[in-house]
Amino acid sequence: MTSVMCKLSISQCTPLNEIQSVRIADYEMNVVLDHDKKMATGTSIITWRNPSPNSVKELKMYMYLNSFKNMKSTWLRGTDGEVFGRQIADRAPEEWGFVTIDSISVMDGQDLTSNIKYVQADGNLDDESVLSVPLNRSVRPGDSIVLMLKFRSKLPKTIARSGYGENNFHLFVHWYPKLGVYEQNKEGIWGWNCHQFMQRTEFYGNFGKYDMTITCDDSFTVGASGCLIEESSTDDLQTVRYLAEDVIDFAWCVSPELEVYEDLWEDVYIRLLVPRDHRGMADRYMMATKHALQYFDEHLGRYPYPGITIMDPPFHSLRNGFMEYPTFATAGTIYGMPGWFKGSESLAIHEFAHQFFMGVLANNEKEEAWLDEGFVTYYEDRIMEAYYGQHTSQLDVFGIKYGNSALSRQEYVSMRDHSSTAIARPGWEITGDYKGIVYSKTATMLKTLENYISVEKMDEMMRSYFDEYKFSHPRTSTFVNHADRFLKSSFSQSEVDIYMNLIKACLFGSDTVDYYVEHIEENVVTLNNKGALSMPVDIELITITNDTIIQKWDGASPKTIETGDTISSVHIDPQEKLYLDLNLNNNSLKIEKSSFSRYILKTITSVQHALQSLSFFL
Amino acid sequence: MMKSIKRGLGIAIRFWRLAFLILLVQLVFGIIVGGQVGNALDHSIGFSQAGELFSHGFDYAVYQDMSKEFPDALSNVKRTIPIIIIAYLIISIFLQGGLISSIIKSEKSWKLFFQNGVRYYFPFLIIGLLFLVLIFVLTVLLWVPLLMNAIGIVESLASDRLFFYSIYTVGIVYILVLSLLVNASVNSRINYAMLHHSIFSSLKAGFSWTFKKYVPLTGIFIFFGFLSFLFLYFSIKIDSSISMNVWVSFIVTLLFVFFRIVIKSAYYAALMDYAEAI
Repeated sequence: MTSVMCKLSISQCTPLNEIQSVRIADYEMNVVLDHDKKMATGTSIITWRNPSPNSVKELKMYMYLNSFKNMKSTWLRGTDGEVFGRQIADRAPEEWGFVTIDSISVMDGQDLTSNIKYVQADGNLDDESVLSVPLNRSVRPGDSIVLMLKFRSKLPKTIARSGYGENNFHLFVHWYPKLGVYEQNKEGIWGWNCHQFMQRTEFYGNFGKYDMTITCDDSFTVGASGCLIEESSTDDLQTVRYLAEDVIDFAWCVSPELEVYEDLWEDVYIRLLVPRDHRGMADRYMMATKHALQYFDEHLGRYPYPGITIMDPPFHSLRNGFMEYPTFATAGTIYGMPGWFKGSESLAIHEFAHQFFMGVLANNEKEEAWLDEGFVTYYEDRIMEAYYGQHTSQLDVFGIKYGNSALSRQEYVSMRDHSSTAIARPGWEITGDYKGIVYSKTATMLKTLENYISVEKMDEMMRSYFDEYKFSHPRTSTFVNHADRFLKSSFSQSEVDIYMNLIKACLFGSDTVDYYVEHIEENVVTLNNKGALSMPVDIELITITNDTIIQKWDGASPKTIETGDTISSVHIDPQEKLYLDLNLNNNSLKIEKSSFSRYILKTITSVQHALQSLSFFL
Repeated sequence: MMKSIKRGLGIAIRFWRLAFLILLVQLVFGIIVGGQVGNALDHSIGFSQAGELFSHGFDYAVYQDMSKEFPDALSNVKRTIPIIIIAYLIISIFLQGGLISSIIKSEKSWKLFFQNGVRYYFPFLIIGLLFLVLIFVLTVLLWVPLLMNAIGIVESLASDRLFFYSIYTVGIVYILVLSLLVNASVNSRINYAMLHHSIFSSLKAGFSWTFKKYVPLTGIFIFFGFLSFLFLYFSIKIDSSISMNVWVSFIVTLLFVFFRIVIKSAYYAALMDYAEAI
């Protein structure tokens, strides 16, 4: 299937002009990019509404670009000087970045510039990623405050995500003074949720409206969150204005290398920004995005924004890729990506899926990353397998096939140590294989739940979760309570107990499950579990007279089954519902050995081919 | 060049029995490794339904679970492979001695094949090892700096296409120098077998012939090398994409291996045709 891409008028992305969220923080920014200095200088008018019953005397802001100011920031201290396999400590002074506020005042004229100070919860006085803004007059419950800022954002040569690369590629993400979230914590106490930038944490923000004007070189292609609503150009400069509504952040990029591909999925405008070298991927990205839009529409909920921009960075700036921002996602690929490997599609779908989990269901990515990364991985697997084949969605070459769900499961089960794999923890508390826990264990847990309750019930549960909590900040307890309520309305109490036990054990514990057939002896078979987690499963027994016997096993304690006839094979969970099982191979045992002649013969000829190839050069 | 290629192919077809002998020797090595793979699978998933699944087609998840549960399952195979490679390379010196001398004398006698295999073994071994070292040095010099600095190079280039082009460029240079070394290696042996001079004189003559006729000899190397690669590619492609009985598939793949051995014989014969002309 090929996608037909056509040039559409920019008016195809039209702001909805309807308020979908409770807008707490609105930003009206106007910046000019000096691409020689890699710096955006401008103004910001921030309107913040106090959502609490308390008077607020202090504001807190993320100043995350300062994490790339030097090696002393909390984020970089956590790296040992190496990020994505590259030493960064010895870079030139101009390759570091920062964000600084030159002036800040309240609309009524009070100057707050002298009040501001960096604060550090971790005691690292060199970290400047969070700014405190004490107010001269407090903001009363329900009232608003309008701040006027002059600021400068200097991009670093890319360390991770935000930064500049070769040939004037710039990606501005977590780049401006941005308010934290004033909310009730788990104990119900109001306060600022505004963490320093730490390793293994991402972003969290309030919903609001972003009205953003950017002036930059006329030769650049600009991509940004929201819809382009105005553009003009004078003297080699272009000015573009973007409007993004009901989003929690705003990201943008410029590059002279990016080509624009546009299309529509129903009334959603899709804008792809692809470097010339990756032209061959444009059609694949477009199809993947449309598949994702279609799939979410059918199985979760309507995409609530008028447009989506997917940017594939040039390869020299791949460190800027693979990340999610509201209505703007970055992908990544290489020149000549072969069609049998769908890694780029999978990642593009993953980042797009974040529009739902992080963008609309705007969880705190720092404290409970599983709520976005885990659900996103689960849906990424589903979408990929629905459109590219259950067993071939990742890889299909020379008879070697690999599907997304199998890959997610493998990332979890092949972890060396399962002793600390509780999912629902802040990023900074998770040591070891972060991806295996937060992404893959969650996806495998959800796949297991889906196998037990059926895909239809899973969709029903997730649709109602999405409808009920969209444009809010759901927490772990939000999902757990929702699942409990939903399951109680659909299943018996004993079934609910089993499913909730699965969810809670995975989220808050590290118990594993590994069922195995201990032995078969004539007409007796013994089953056991190497782990402490259990779920009920079917046991399929086949006798030598070819009779099939199905039995149930709760998995909590060893089970011995005796039949009237000699058993020829036994299979625990033959449908592989319990996808979390650490080893599916030992779930079955038979008295007759399988024949591996295919592999023996293939090995023989492969060895011959290899020897012949080597001896060609001797 | 085309004349030599045609003659080479004609001679190689006439000497198909020798190619068949080489196929049988390779088969013995293949059976050793194949048997170990069979044992490893038997012991790890032989009595599991997963084995049944696996026997019908490669299932990566089954393989991963097996590797996790039996990390040492394939360790015997991993240990055997380097031994097999070294052993075969040592034996292949003998086979080449027999093959080259039989083609030179244009005699299909098994006696001559074995006699000359023994007679030329040590001179050919020395020549072979010398060129193997040179090929290793060439490989390290050309590829290691490029691959070690790949990330830095890519990030400093405006286009990743340029990086791929630089790989292609290095690849072309590699093939051109490799062809020189391999041609010189074969020519040295041909010279030794034809003229019975010292190893050093044969090496000198081998390089001299190769430099003198660099372009056509490189053409011959690339032609037969490419043909051999094509047969390898189609062998893998057919084996993985067409569902056929495993034994039929085995026979078809063996035929492809056999054709590749014939191609190598043809390459020797073509070079010899040129050497005779010189």
